Amino acid sequence: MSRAGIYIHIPFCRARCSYCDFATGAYEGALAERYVRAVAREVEAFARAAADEEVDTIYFGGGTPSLLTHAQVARVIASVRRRFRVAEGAEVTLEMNPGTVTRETLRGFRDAGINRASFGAQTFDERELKRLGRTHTADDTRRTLALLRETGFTNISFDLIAGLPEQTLGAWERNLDEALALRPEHLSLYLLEVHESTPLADQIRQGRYRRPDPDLAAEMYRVMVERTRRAGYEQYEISNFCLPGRESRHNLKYWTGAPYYGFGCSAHSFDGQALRWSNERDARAYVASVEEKGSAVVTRDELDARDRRAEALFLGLRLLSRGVNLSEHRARYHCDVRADFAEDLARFNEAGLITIDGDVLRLTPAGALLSNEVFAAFV
Amino acid sequence: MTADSFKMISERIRNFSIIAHIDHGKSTLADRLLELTGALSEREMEAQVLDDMDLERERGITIKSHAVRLDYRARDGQAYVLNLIDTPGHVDFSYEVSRSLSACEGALLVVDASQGVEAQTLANTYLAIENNLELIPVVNKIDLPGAEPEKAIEQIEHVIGLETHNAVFVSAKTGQGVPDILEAVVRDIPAPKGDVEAPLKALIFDSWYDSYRGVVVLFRVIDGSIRPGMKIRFFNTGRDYQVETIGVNRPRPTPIDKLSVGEVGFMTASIKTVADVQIGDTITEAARPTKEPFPGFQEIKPMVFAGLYPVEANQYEELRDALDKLRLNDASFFYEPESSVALGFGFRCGFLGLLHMEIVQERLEREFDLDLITTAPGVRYRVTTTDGVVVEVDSPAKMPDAVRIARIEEPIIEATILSTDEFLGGILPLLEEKRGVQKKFEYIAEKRVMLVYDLPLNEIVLDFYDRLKSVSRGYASLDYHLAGYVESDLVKLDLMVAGEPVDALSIIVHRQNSQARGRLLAEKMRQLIPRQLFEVPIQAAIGNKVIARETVKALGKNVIAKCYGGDITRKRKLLEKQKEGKKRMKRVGKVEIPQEAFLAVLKVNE
Repeated sequence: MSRAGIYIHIPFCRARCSYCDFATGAYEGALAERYVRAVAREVEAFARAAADEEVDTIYFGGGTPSLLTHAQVARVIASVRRRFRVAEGAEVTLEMNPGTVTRETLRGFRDAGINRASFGAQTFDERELKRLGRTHTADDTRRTLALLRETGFTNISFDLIAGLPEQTLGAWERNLDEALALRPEHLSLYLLEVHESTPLADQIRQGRYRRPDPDLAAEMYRVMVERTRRAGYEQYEISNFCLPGRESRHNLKYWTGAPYYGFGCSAHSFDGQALRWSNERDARAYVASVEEKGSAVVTRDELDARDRRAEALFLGLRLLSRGVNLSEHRARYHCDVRADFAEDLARFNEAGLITIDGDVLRLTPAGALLSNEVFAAFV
Repeated sequence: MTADSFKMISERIRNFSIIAHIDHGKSTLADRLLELTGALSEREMEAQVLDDMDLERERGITIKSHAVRLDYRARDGQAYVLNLIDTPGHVDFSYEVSRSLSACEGALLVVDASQGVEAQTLANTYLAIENNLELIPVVNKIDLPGAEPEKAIEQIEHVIGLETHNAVFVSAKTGQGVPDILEAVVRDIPAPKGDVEAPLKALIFDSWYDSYRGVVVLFRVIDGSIRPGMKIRFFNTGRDYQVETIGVNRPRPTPIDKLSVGEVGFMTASIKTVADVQIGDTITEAARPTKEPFPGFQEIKPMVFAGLYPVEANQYEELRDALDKLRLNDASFFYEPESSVALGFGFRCGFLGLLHMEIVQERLEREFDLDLITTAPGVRYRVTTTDGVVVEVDSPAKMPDAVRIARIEEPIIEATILSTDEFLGGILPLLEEKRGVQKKFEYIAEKRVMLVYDLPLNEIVLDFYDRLKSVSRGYASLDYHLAGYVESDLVKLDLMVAGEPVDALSIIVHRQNSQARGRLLAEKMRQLIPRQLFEVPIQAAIGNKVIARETVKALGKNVIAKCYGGDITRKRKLLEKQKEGKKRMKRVGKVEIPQEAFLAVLKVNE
């Protein structure tokens, strides 16, 4: 079995972005301090893994983890080292927002053990940033990237969102051009999803913005697949692109069925076999729970054989170049995809959504855009 | 006061019914009469006591007939027995209404003081007059600010031609004037006449299935008397039974040892299904049968037909069981197995009308927890083929090929529409479009118009009623009765999705409307069929001739872009939900068609 990854959720933000439906709230110094203490305690009290289990990724996600001090980050990492064996050369990622970091804080994070940075650039268009409720500017993004390079970060990723309200194809192309010119090791390029109960959904309902056009978003997707390819990036996942060898090792765990242990509020975990569980969503309730009993697990989802093989397919197929090896799948899940889904596969093949190359089933770029149509057949 | 303390002589019996338009206050008035006569204490009252089906309460309508016996001591000091027979009011049930009315000697004609006479009231009043009922006008809701009792009275006199000297003015809501109704009933409605020595003759006016008692039959004794243990015969079906119990509703069912001339009550006799009990049939004694049955009996014939299909094929057996059970209780709808290329196995069902169809459908979904697809309702055509054979066609699928048809006749109704004249601008073109032929246009009061039209029933079942309501902002009222069959230039309109004909979407329309309807239907389908992996062409065709064409574009995107943070369970649930949604659609060829599409034929507005 592949080695486990550690996820640490940091639920604080300076301001909430209009499209966000994650567990996050405003930053408060005192709460952050209690929170970090609780996370460290949760990690150390974690009972589900062997004491010497080796982990090779640690990922600080949020929220905005860069709102923590480097000392707080160091304390959390130390707790992970006390509880697990952290592999030599482990990937340790911290998400940050442009504009929340300085040369000094970045040095601090590096010294604390962070070796990969991921930040939400989202767009280089000032008007679009404002519409999203982001507090940073395009210049902040450029400056942050420069600062990261200056302070020695050699593994950098940032996010852009396509299909923003009122965004034109031309505006998206300009974003892509600028992003690719900056040559980050990794890019996450997402099509916007409007989740209910976000401010953005309300704004669209009230008619402030038009609902983003799905056909335009599809066109943006096709453009980004093409331009990243020409710029030498590999599309290794539906929304993720990298220079050779620079996949997010942590995120790969989600798609390959590797174990991952999540700590902090709303963090999700998987034992690598058949059990998924998650923590209390609310930060204060999480802290209270950990302070009381050392853990804050609120949901458990035991996967049956059917769930496991469905997940193996719909997660595995997200990895576009890797795909799903049907022989291996059959050996592991006792399910003959070719026979069991013959009619669906024929339909998807005819529509140009999949290829079966020898033993390997893959989504085509067109199939990536309609991947839910394909995946829904397998669940 | 107990039933026994009343000496049951027929001079002290009054049988009456209430005629009213929906929302004119019939059920509230009935509640009030029950309360006043002590049949129910205030504590026992819940609104619409007589409408005991959930559906009746929710919709404020009466579907089944009811009879309740009220004890009333009149101002003359005498004790009377009043039988209130509550009837459905809707046109779908007009035969049942006519039978219930003929069990009465009189009726209250309830008219809303601010609304005036409506078409439904009119139709049922004419039924009452045909049955020689004594009518007592009751002007209701006089407490409301908009009440104009004089205008209501004027309409009753003018439109119906009824004397109003004995009219009663009431508010059923507050109870004002209601005691005067009871006095008027005693004073103006004749006592029943009949021969107690003659052979038993009793009119069946309703029946229902009770899981404890079997079928319960509601009847009115015309001649003779009936007792438990008596061997009886149903005149038309010829079936014999032994009476187990008889009783009256007060309103709780109360057993009694005899029912005689003029009395109204119920009977049980180990009858298995309501299909064995025909409304309008006559009960007589097997050993001493009456020579002549009570007149007016008819076999109930369905007028509106539609296919009912389970959304999920594995619910077919459940649907059949549910239909069997429902028919125990409602003999007026019929069904037979039918299959469709698009929808699989289901049933062709016949109903008394659109309301009846909705009720059956809703009861199936609610009481039996079924998910159903209903195809567009149609009527029964009479088709003469080129070889001279006449066939009845109640489904587009059964329509013979055009080349084999010599002529088609379609059912025609005579419709009466009452409205204020300000809406004529919308109503008249609608009647025109629906191929109506005007027979009468009359001002029945200031600004109030009565229209009588001959209309093809197939135009009514499509969307006529909804559109009449919409062009008249809900004010026009409609009633109709079957007026025969006429020859008509009808064609079958087919719909093809991705080149495949979808049989469940075929409809029969008049040639004159076929182009427009084909275009609208294709457009509606384009809106209702979700985008798929492929571009989906939609065509409307008559025979081989395509008359309209639309295209559903291929799906642009359906992707969970962001899939990390580890909450895989949520993503899986989301995909399962999408799959569930697809399951609820019907796959025709390569195309997934949602259920609403099959009803779209109904909702094509022009």
